[in-house]
Amino acid sequence: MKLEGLTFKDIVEDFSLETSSKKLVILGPSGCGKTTLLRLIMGLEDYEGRVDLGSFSPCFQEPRLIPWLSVEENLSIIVGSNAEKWLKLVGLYEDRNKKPGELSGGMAQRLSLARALAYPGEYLILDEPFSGIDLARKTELKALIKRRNFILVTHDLADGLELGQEVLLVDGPPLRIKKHYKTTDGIEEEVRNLLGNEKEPTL
Amino acid sequence: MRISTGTTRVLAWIIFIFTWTIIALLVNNGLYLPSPWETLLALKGILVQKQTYLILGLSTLRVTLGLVLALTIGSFLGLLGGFNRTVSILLTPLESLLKSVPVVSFIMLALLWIGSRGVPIFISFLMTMPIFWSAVEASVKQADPKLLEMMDVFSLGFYKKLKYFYLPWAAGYLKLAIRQAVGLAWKAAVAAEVLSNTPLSLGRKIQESKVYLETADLFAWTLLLLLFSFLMERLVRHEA
Repeated sequence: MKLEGLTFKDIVEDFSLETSSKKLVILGPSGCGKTTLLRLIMGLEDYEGRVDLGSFSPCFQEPRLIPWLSVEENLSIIVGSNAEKWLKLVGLYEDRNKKPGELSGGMAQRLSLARALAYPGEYLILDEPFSGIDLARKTELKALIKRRNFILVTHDLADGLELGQEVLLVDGPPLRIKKHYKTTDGIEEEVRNLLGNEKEPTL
Repeated sequence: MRISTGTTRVLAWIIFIFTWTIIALLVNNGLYLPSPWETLLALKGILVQKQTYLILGLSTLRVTLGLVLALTIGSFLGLLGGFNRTVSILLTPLESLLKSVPVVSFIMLALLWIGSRGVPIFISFLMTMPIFWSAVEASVKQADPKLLEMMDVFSLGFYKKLKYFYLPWAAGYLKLAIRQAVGLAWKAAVAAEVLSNTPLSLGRKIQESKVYLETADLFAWTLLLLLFSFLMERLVRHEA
């Protein structure tokens, strides 16, 4: 993945990154521009600079489900007949006929994550994908995510270190790389301290 | 003491009919203002005639055809304008014209263009089409940008977007539009029937009542018009 001189309004200014890691975790305080960076990577904003990344499949910060379609329809319009398999994998098969309004926040988020996982993309782009999801389900979902390439934005240090190969510690705006860890081994204490200094929720 | 809305409505109708009766008594000339009783008698006389039902059926059919045409073409134009800003701007003069030109001008033009038989259908179509058009165009323009973005990112094709997103989304707007359109369609169609003298039509009966100075009949036919407009509106509301 290669990002070159990305610039968007005052939020991201001349942001560059090059990494061979296919499991990248981005950690940083809220409002620093992490979500905007993901939007630029997905081509959802007009920006200056260059993004070199393969195809992708997103899990947005909010579930973005079509309210009048059932759980199954929300998935099947995107992934066709694979919907059933993925509903079983994320534990929503029993709720397949419910409408998004009848789901809890965690269930809606699981459906959104299932959609991202089921869609064929080289990279998963995950923006706080575990919001509201209980611990047991989270463990199952992490196992599914681990098999894939991804860029993960999270507040949760434990999730980040468990899933990632590389960790990008950022702050801003404008978004800047505070530290780029090429490994997750033995960095927990240091990252915790750095995030702790920002008074950000971590674990 | 609090009076329920239902009771208030019934009370309003009683006051209305009572006032009508008093004024009719004061006028004391059924030619100018028939009393509610005279109107009821005229209605009874109309309802015993078999032809009445054919007339009511045909007028209902004309209004329905006009509405179906308006819904179809209005929705199409609404989608077109909603998706394409240039088309929306190009169609603005037509929309303004349809909304502001008096119905009678269109009736006269339609008489020249298509002859008397088709005029009521054409006029009810023309008068209600902008309602559907505006509703669908507004629905497209007000669609949730986050959902649109999601569908774009997942490369959902236009047909699927239309079927699973835009049409169900527009349906909510259309339900409201249909309710508004039904009353207008009846008024416009009957006005067209009057002016184009359409055979076997409610409008023609109203016109004849006026010509033969059968004011009670005129009231009775108008009552039927209101009743049918109300029933269709109720039916649509129920179905919607």
